Amino acid sequence: MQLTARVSAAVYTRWRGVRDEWRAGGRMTWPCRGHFALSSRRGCSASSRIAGWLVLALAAPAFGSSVVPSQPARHARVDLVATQGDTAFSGDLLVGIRFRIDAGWHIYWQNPGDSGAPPSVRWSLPAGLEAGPLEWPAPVRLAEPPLASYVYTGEVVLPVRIRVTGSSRQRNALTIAASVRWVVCREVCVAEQADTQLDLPIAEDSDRLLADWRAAIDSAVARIPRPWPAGWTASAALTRDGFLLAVETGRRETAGTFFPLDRGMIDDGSPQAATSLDRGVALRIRRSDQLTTLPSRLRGVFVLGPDRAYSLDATIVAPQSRGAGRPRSNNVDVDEIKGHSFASMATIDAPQSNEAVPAVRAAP
Amino acid sequence: MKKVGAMAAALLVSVAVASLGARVGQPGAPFTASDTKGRQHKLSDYQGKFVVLEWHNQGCPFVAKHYNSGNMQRLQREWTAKGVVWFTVISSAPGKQGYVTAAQEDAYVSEKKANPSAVLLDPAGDVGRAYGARTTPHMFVIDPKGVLVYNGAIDDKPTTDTADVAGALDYVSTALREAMLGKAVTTPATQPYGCSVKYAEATH
Repeated sequence: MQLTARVSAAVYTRWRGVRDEWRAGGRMTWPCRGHFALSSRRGCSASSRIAGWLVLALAAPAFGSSVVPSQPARHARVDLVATQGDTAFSGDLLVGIRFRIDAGWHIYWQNPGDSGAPPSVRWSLPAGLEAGPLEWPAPVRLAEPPLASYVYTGEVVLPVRIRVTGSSRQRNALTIAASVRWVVCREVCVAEQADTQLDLPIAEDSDRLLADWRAAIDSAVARIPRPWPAGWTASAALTRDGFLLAVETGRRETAGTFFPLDRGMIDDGSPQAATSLDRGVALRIRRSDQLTTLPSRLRGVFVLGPDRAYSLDATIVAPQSRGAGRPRSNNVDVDEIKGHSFASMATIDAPQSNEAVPAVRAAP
Repeated sequence: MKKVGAMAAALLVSVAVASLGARVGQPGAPFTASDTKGRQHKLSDYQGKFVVLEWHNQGCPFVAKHYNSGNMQRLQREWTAKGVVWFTVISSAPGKQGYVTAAQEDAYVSEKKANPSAVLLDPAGDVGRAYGARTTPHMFVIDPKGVLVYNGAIDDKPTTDTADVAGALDYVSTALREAMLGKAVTTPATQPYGCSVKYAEATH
């Protein structure tokens, strides 16, 4: 018992050190990744693997399932994919963390919404390589009234750029390893963890493998939000219970969903009522009850349709009085949205006056 | 013209801020609920005391983070010793994750060496819906006058990682400390994190 406690403390201390190092932007330097390995791997001696398992077995009861995996992942499988199968690169190497998620289950976007948590990764990279931040394809909104989350289902790849920071040395082989943690939910939620690695170069006859990897990354990259196009506008006007987010793209848009980057900004569970405009679309968004100070910006991803996701950063403004601002065609009049004149606007899904937005929770 | 617009905007902004976070500062929703020993608890029975409500689900990994690390038990022990009434509330519906019988919950409390004043069983979700409890955990602090002074997350690390407990900003203790000194709570509302509360489907 005492031994368990002491070993656990040592692992805990080591884990915290590594984690802090990782958070500080440094490179992960586990002496051997086998401590958390669930499968044998190159680069770890057999004895250290056995030691790793021993530590794992001793530490598990003290930690519970949230730090040390007590069983293999069950509802999502993870591997690493890349756009290149050899080691002959001098600039970035585009790698992806691929999640294959059981039917009916989901994992979470960078802002999970009302519940859940985003995946996280610790990298183990050879000297001279450095991992950039995870990139996040646009999620889908999963409504579970009165809550909603921003999720991925099926298969998703989170791309990451691996940069060469040192001098570009000739490499015969390299191993990119990742320890990935995620929460996967259906009706219940499970915290899962896996260690995975990418060994380059892949075998010469692996054209099909490389084609599969590239297709997976390409489809993720297509869903990565693009910069807000020059010439488009976005305005976030205060309303009585939230924001009126109007975007102008130059054409009539028939759909729109806003995914907030910051937690606690909008009431995730309230439906976003979309109104088609001649040159764009407007969303009525209820603000979060948890807001105690008025935010100055609404940051997030605006999705107009398949592979049409854009990064949005709009200054929140008080509604302009009629005629005081830009021409009306450029602007959505808040008073109109409040229910007086929908005549010029095509309805996408049943527009509701502010009062008709369903209360997300019973009033005290 | 521009100046007038800016002034109007400033005026509107201040009005809007005043209406934000309206629930904190309002009376906590009255409730009556049974605990695992069959005793009835009414919020109004505890006028004159601070009351903490902790939404709970044994099977949720975000809850496990706080019970496996001992963080929740430590908070319960520390604050009940100072006279705070601490209710763990379970709003999972029968058949859903986290639903337990009174005996099952008592066994859990004993195994985890938990220290709540009582565990309230809310399988119909009435208390949960009255407070707008979204996640497990989701924490509420009610002051001795019955006014809600904190609504939100247990801390500022929305993960399932036990290692994140140390060094996290403990919103609940901060709110209790400030409120006990008669101060305004610095952070009265935050976005809760965790698993969604497994409510019964709405029947109306």
